[in-house]
Amino acid sequence: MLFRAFTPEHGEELWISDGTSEGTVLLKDIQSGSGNSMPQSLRALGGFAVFSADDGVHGRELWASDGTPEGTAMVVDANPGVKDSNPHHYRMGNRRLAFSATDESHGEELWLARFSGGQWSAELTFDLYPGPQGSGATEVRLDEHRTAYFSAELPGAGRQLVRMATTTDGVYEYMETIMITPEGVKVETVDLRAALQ
Amino acid sequence: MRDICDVHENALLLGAIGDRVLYSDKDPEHGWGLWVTDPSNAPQLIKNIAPTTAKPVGRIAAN
Repeated sequence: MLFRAFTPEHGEELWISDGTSEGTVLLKDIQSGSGNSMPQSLRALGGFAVFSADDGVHGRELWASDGTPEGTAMVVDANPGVKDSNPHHYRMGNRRLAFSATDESHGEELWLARFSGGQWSAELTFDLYPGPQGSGATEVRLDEHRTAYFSAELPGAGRQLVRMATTTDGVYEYMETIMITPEGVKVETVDLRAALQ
Repeated sequence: MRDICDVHENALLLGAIGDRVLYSDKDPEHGWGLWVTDPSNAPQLIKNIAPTTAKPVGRIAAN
């Protein structure tokens, strides 16, 4: 069981316990010394504990742990440097981890991470609302067909349901905006392969 | 022996491992600590640390 706990020498950090005294240990002093990495929003997803933490160098970013010190690492520095990306709304599906994060250039958008070869990698999916405003992508769901469903604010269209599909290589194929209007359901499709070229 | 119901008003419930329940509690002797209890044993202090990510015991009980 993972949890956050405070001690004067380590601050608020991530601990692990099997319910015994000897099996209750500091998992990782993410912000070394007495500083607080303050792990937040712990979720158990696909064999990992996923959470946000601040190591004092990269700001508040997404971290994941397999329950070992060496397997506890930052997934990505989505907002480079000490600035926070404030990751949230984690979802795991089809061996991918989706989350919302904010960076200075793109604002709050949907990111996708993969765990492969013992390491995490992650990237911004698409700058749905171009520029720093961000689409506020949230409530994401991933299905077994490499498709993400989520809610996002789109330029000139307000908040809409979006379906984004990728190939087996993780290349984005197309995006559909599914709008419910007084006249019925309206679907607009964008070919992401063309848009990214 | 401390009764499981006799916990600090700000005690936090971490969760269960099998039939063992982990929670934070504060007593005059140890201050805040991580405690464990199960159906056949009295609550035991397992570490003098102060867990901070959990749900208040009172709220769980009310649910």
